[in-house]
This record gives sequence, structure tokens and C-alpha cells, in this order.
Amino acid sequence: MRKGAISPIADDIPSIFPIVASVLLFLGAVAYAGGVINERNDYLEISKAGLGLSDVVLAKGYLGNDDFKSQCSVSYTEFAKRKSVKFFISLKKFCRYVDFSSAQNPFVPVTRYNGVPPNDYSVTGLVCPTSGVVGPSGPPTKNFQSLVFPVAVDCKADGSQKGLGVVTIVVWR
Amino acid sequence: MERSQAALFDGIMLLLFASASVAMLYSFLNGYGVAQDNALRSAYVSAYLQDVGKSIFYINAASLADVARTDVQVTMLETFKKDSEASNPNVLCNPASKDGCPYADLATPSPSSDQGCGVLRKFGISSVADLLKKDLGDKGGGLDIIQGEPFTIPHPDGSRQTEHRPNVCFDDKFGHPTPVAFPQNCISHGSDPSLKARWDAVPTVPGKTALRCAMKELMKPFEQAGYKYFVDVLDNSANPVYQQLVSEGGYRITNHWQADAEGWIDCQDAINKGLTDRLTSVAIPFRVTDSTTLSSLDSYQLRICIWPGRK
Repeated sequence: MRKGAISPIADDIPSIFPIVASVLLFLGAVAYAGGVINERNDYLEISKAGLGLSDVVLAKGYLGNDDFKSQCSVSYTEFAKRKSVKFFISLKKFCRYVDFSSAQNPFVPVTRYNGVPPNDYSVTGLVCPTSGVVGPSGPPTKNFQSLVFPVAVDCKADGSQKGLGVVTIVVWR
Repeated sequence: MERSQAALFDGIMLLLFASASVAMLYSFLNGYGVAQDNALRSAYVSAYLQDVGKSIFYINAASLADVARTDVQVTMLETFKKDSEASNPNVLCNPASKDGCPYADLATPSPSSDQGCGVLRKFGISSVADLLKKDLGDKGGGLDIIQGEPFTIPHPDGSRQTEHRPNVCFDDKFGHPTPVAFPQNCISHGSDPSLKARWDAVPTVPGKTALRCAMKELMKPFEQAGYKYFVDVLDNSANPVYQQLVSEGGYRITNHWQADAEGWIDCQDAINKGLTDRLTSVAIPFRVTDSTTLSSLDSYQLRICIWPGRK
């Protein structure tokens, strides 16, 4: 053994610390990157699902009451199931103007209708699904997609008058 | 070098390599998904504009009779008026200019006054698109064909031929007083009082007003987000060389009152100036039956473009 040397193995002990630090740093970064990539992929998938659902909902640019109710349980639900997302669609009927502050929150009903407070809240809008999706924790607060679109809506029950409406589509996992 | 020193050097080098790798990883992460996100946002804007184009085929024009300025529009208008009076009182709204004051929002003095949408009240169950088509569908029998600006057509053999293409007026009117020829086109009705009276006697079909009032409401989300919009109608000829803007009379369909740094831009200016990176444009094709003769079918495009405002 040369002078100053401890032993063949002990000589390498100081180098172990930077090696371990490098490995931990690298593995930690890879794990973090994986998490970030997964989260962003999730967000992009949700965004794509939201746009896809909007295509289904707004195929015509007009949403009649009966159309909306019947498609809710068929097309919309099926699409969301295929994309593995939860959704909430709110159709707000303003008819003579668009109250954008009210349109922004799909979970709050329209409080004015045709310029006057409505007697019956059911005439001011429709939602899909009607129950069971939002749950007790309320609307999603993280990693969700909310899209607002204009649409023509029935302003009279018989569909003889069509006015301004807003559809808000919220999609999350 | 001592063996232990060499081992330590190797370890430190490994640490440096690991640090460099991590830095590259973070750099990659920073840009990961950004392009896709931008594409999806752009797809949303396009989908929104397409939806605007579809919904005007259903919305009753009469339901837009109460459309007026929003608080945001009033604030924008007051700011604009203050700016323009301070710097250049004639900017974009000069009664002496060829176009006069082409902005409905600027032409009315009181911020609370309506936007001329009340005229739609008597148009019952006609949709916005019905009135738009009627406004454009009056060219048969020379009703609304006016000789327009001369333009040259390039031919495959390299020669150029000058022609006067007829203007179809998109002007809230069904027809025009005869005889009216270039340069008394759709925009300028001339200063002769008797001619003005004859123009006023032409039946009103407020297709342009209906579209303008509809846009005021339908574009609210983007307007409140600071976007500018401009809507025009193109003669949808199969040959792009022949494709041109349909002449407009009266107010323009826009919330863009102030020139950008690049100068005044509307859709066509923006395209001509190569500003398409900031512009999202959607063209909705539609066909119009000539209401006067029912013998011809003309193709048009409704072009909606938006871009982020800088103020």
C-alpha cells in the first residue's frame, strides 16, 4: 500500500457522496417531470374533450328545448363516457341580450329573462345532466375546462321565437 | 493523480452531468404542451366564431331590437373620444371624409342612445341571416348593381384586362334609385338633396343593421377580453382573383375605432399587411337567391375576424 492511502475501498468513499447526490437529483427530476407531463397531458386531454363535446352540443348553432333534453342523455353523456370525463352543460336563455357576467358562472341560473325577472326559473335555462354530477363538493376548482359559446335558443315554448342564448360547457376528470 | 482524487473527480463530474441533465429537463418541461395548448385555444376561438356564424341563421332579428351599448363599450367610447379630441379631432371619424363617420358607436353623441337596432322590432320572425340575404339579394334587374371601382384581371397569357365590376350594395337597402352610377356608389349617396331624398325612398331591409346588432351581443365575451372584431361580406367567386369585398354603405360592423400601431386595419388590411399571426378569421359561405328575379343564385362569404387589441 502506498503512503497516504487508507485502503482500496476507503479511497473511494469521498466520491460516493457526489455520486449518490447525482443519482438522487436525476431520479427526483425525472419523477417530477413525469408528474408535470402527466398533469399537462391530463389538461390537454380535458381541453380536447371539451372542444369535442362543444362540437356535439353546437352542431347546428341552435339548441331547442327538446333537442337539448333528448341529446343530454344520449349524445352528450355517451361522448363524455367515451372520453372518460365528467361534464356539466348549462344553456342560458337571455333572448334579448347577453348578460355575460351571468353567463360566466354556469352553476347559477339566469335571474332575468327577456328583460324582466322570470316567474319560473325553468324557462330561463336548461342544464345537463340535471343531477348527480357536480356532487356535494361543488363544481370543480382545479384542472377543468370551461368553454362559453353563443347559441340560438327558443324564447317561446312553441319554438316560434328564437333569441340569444349562451352555452357553457364545463369538463373535468 | 492519487486514486482517491480521481474517484472524487469522477463523482463531481457525474454530479455536473446530472445537473446539466436536470437543467435540460426543466427547459423541456417549460415548453411541453405549450404548442398544443395554443392550438387548442386557437381551435376554441375558431369554434366560437363558427358558432356565431351558425347562430345568426336562427336568431330572430326582432329579438335584437333592444340591443344597446354595454358599460364596457361606453367606457371604451368615452376614452377613445377623449384621446381623439386631444390629439387628432378628425381621426377615424371625420364627417368631411369620404366615409364620413362609419362607426355607429361614434356617430351618436349620447352614450346612452340606442344603436339603431330598434328598427329590427318590426321584422317579426325573420332571422338575421334572412335579412342579410335579402339585403344582398336585390341585384336582379339592375336593382342594386352599380358600376364599381375599376380593377384589372390578370390572364394566364400574362395580359391584364381592366373591368368595372358591379358593386352589390350591403347597405340596409333593397335596391337603389336609378340612374345611379360610379362614383355614386353604395357608400357615398352624393350631396344632391334630391338624390338623397330618392335614396331615402328606397325600401329599407336592415340586413346590415341586424348583423351589426347581433355581433354586438354575440361577440361580448371576446370584446370584454380586449379583442377587436371586424365583419364583412365577400363576393365568393370561385376564382380568388375575382373575389372582392361587397361594398358597404352606412356603419361598419366592428368595435375597432382606433387604428393600431400599423395604421388602420380591418380584415383585409390586416391580411394585406401580413398581420395574420395576430388574426383569427372565419369565413362562412352562404348562397343568396336573387329576390327580384328568382333566377340566379349568388355565393357570398361572411367573414368574421378578431385580433387582440393593444390597449
